[in-house]
Amino acid sequence: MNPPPAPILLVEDNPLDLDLTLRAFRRRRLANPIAIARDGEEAIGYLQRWDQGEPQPLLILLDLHLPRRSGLEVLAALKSHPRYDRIPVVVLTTSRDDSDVERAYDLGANSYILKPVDFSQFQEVVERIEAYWCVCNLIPPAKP
Amino acid sequence: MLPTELRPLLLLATSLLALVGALVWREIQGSTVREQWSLVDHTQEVRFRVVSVVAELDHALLAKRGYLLTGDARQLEDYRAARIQVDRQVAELATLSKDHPDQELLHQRLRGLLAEQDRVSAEVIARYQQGGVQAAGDLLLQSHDPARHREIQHLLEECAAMEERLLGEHRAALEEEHALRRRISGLVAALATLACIAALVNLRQQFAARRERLRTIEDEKATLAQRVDERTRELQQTLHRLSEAQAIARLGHWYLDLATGTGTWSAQMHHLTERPVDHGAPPLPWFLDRIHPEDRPALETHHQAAVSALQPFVLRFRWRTEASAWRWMETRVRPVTSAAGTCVALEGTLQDIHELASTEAELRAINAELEERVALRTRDLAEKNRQLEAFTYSVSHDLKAPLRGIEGYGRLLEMEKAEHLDEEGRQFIATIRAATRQMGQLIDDLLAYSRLERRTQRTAPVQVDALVRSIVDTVARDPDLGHLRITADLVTLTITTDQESLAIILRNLVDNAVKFSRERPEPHVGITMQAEGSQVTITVTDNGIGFDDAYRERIFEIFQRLNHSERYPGTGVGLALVRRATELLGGSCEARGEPGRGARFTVRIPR
Repeated sequence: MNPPPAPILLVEDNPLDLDLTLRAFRRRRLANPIAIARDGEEAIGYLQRWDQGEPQPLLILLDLHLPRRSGLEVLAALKSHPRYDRIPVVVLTTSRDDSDVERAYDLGANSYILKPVDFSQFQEVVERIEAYWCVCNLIPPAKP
Repeated sequence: MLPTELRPLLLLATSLLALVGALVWREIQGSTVREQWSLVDHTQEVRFRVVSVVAELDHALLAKRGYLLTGDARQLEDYRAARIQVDRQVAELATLSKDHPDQELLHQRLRGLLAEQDRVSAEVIARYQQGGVQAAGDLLLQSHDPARHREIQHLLEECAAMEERLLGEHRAALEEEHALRRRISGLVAALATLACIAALVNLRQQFAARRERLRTIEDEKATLAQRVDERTRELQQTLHRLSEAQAIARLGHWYLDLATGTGTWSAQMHHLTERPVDHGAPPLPWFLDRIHPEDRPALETHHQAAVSALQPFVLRFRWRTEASAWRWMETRVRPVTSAAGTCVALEGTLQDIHELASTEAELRAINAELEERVALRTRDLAEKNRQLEAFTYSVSHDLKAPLRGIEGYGRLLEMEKAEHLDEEGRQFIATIRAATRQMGQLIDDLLAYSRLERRTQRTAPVQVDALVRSIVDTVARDPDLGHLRITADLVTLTITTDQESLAIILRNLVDNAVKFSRERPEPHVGITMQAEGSQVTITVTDNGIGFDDAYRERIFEIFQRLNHSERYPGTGVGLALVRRATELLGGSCEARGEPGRGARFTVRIPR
């Protein structure tokens, strides 16, 4: 029997967005479990949880506008980490601000995607992200 | 040719020479007179001798006759003495007359006759002494003594006459020669006089000319003196003004001889430094010692550079007055070089700039305060700007999140709960979703507009035709275009500009043209470009619904819409973006339209 698929970590504070994203994934009938962090603090807390044996995610979907610790802080913590720096991080946000885009990439974001207002388009985006990062893309095995 | 000035001198010398000649001539003439006189003396003497001889002869004859008559011995003695006298006188006469051959002949005859007479007389005397008077008388009668005596007398007279004649001849010759000499000396004298006159005339002329020249020179001298006076007055005035100006400017002039270490000061220097004028310019240390210790090293460095590298300088320093107050001074120093190019002296000005320096200091303080205030304001503004950005960011994020919720749940309602809704309910949900999308678009456009304002321009070479083509290609991929035709008449052109701004302009113009012509029969959007001089012109033309030309300015204002949003959805931001982006590139844009016949948008940007 195959090992359970790696989870996708969703960092999102807005409950509506969170619910809609989950619904979009559900409509896609995604096999991967979804782990959730409701703010930046909680997201950074995952680093310890992974240290303690919780499965590392296949992909992290990161909103930038978060309470307590911002998405960019979370990104910086992840990408400067000796073991978890290779986990793909897709920034999924409503901000199309140049400085946000630049800083995200400077910190090591793997992709930067805007959330469309139109749900159909949003669903399409989610599907494409899943198809690309979870199916097409290969990442190296987790570091010991 | 002789110089003119020497000509009268030469004439004068010539005339002097002539005069000397004439004098010499006269001297010679004098000797001629003396010669004449000697001739006359000679003749007189000859005459005298002749008379003497005749007298002595008569004496001798008388004495002889007396003896013969008386027999007195004394008479005989007389006779003999007279005879001796005769011979002696005749010898003298012969000596006097020997220069003439005729005289010589006369003397020979005379000597012969005298000798004959003497012989006869001696014989007569002898006979007398022997035979007495008788014996002597016969001989005497026979001897023709009286005839002989007369002959002798005659010869002597002849001699005297000949001498007279010779004297006359000599005189005539001398007269002739004298006349000639007189004529010559007259001529010479006349010539000398003429030369003298000429010399005098010439001298006079020269004197006149010289006087004239002298007068001219005097005139010139007077004019010159006048001009010198005028210039002196002007100079004095200028000096006075300079001095006044220096006094007003509180500006002194100084000169420092490096070899001697001494210098000269203008009056104002003394005034500035409060050093009495009668103390003169001080040695350099006197001045240096009064310079503020903080300013002195700079002055010494500049001084060295001026002397060694011939570098002029301007320097401000504080200087201690007699009252021990510090005053700001400014000196401007220029090295003075020798012909060999080495620095031999320094000269310059000294100006009291205390008030100026104080004012400048105040000004600097005010400026600093002002700058601080500006900096503070700038910081305030930057803070406000940052807050505004944060606000915009929040708007973007926070407004769109609920929108996405409304839209998303609306969509879910449509997809998953459609069976619970009737037709009207479904219509409501569709309207809610459309309004939500419209609001999302409005927020996006607003953010785009504010981002355009905030972002920094990045100029780089941009190939305009390639950019236009990529935008056209993107638009052409829209499946909703139908049979709309887009043509692009382009030239290959690369300009230096901000690519994103240019892309915003082109995309919005093309989107706009497509939107308003898409539903027209045979819709067409044409893009042309031209490079003219320093700018490039891009025109986007469509055959869409067009607009009233009266709105050609309002059309670029933000949120200005000329048509109903039901049919032509939009936010009224697109053309405002075009205008703003064009302005940011330093260009301009204009719109021309006619209702029902299309529109033409022209953008001009610098190359």
